[in-house]
Amino acid sequence: MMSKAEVKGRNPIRAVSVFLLLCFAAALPFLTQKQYLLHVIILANILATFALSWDFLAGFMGQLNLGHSMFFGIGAYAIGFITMAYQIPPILGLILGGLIAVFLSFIVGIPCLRLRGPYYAIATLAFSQVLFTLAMGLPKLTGSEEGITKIPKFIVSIKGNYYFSFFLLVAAVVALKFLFRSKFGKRLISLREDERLSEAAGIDTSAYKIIGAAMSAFLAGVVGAYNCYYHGNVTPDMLSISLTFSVVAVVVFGGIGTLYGAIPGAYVLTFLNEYLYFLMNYRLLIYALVIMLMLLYSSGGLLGLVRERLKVFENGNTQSK
Amino acid sequence: MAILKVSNLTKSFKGLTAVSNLHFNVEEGEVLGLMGPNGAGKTTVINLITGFLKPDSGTISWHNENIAGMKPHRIVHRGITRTFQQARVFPNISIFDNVIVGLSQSDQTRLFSAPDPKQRVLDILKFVEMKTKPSILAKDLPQDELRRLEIARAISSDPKLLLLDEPVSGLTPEESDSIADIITRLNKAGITLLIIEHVMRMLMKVSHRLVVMSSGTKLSEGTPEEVRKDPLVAEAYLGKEGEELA
Repeated sequence: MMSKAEVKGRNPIRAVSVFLLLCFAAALPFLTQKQYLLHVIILANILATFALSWDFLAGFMGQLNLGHSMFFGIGAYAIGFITMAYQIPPILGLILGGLIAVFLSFIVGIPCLRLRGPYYAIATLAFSQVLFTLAMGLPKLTGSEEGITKIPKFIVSIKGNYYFSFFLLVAAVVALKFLFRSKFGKRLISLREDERLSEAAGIDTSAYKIIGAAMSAFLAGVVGAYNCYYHGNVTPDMLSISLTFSVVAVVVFGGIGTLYGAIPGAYVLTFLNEYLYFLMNYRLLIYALVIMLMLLYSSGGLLGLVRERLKVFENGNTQSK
Repeated sequence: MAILKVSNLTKSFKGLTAVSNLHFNVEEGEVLGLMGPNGAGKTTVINLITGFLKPDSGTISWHNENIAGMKPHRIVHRGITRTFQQARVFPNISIFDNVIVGLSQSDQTRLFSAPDPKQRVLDILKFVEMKTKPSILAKDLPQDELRRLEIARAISSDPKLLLLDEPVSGLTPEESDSIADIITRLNKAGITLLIIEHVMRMLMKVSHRLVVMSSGTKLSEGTPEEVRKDPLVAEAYLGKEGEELA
């Protein structure tokens, strides 16, 4: 019989690699003078954190939300509306952005509770389209296409934003890692595996789905609010379907349900976006191609591909011994 | 003392009556076998008791509380858990995690007293004699280990009544004997069991009493010996010309 230590598989190589990567990320602003590079990394960190919130719901809980940008967008608009009327500390603004997204998740979640699979996906898509249409159609309130502008910046310096965006991403990864190690987190994962069996295991699946969606929405709302502070404006694009498909592409490319997969996925797609700007009009086409190719050649995404290669390498080493 | 009383239970699907006016009791501490030919309504009964189906009429009384139509997780919290006809596990998570998902909230259970939940999971896996490492994914398990894991998950919530739906289906006689041994040990530890099974040898071996169903109704009830001699039972299984059950 196994001991407790044997149940957990710890990988020292992975821990050292993560530590070295974090050291490099911390040192980068001192190694380069290229402000634009730091700006693109900030965008990648924002996209990665947002993609993590989608992966939480779709990859870990099996709830395919195709309107996830609504939580990101509502967090951003919350900051836009609040800062027009009041002066609030930015940290409170981020938390409020998250909480308003949680409130929206309850409004969406309760009527969608009985829906599964494609029906849930379509219902969430419909909700996000309603919000997008409202944002476009209420110019006095939302500024329509122009959005809400001149929002005071949370952190002015690019270096400060660079570190804060990393802090958000690392905090989200660590929090989710702890969550999915806990019994509560494993129960959330069980919903993806077999909802009926989860019920037989004593899990109130409706409550877990609502709580899980609220946690995911909180993260999306916070990062949406931060995005609004960083750019100093909020536009209907932040509620758009193309933003949702961006995170779908990011997660599928990086590896769905892997936690870390969203990070390389977000970096690759953000750098492609920024450095191949002339292909902007074909963005959705490129995303679709990326998703199709990944699903054809590695359903586990980029991370799955790396893991497979490492396994082959390790097996080769073992055999040669 | 009867802890579960099924009275006047009826369930139809689009005009087809699966269970009709069924009555039976489950006594505390016993192993009750529920048998009957294919289509007799046995699995429907388990689905009704565990809240996976709502009855058209009738009551299911658990310690004098009617639990008919209650949500499955509420029924689990009251002390009734189940396994499924087709071994059902969470395929893409480890054996260990399959068990911890259902683990009772209480610090210790009647069977497993280790205060550390992780140790309790390992004790449960030891009890059901899992041979595979707990870190292996459930989808990689052979059929007999899947059955053990299902039982492990079911007992992790500290049930007072455990419902097993064909627990030895698809297993070899040796593997079936091993599951029968687990059932006997669970019963000795104080868990009441209701078992559906097609393998008569196993059911006759572990059950204190049997309820026989045919076409949704109760055909016979009694000790394995009494049921074996009941001509109605032989007829239901083997036809009018049938002989006594083997």
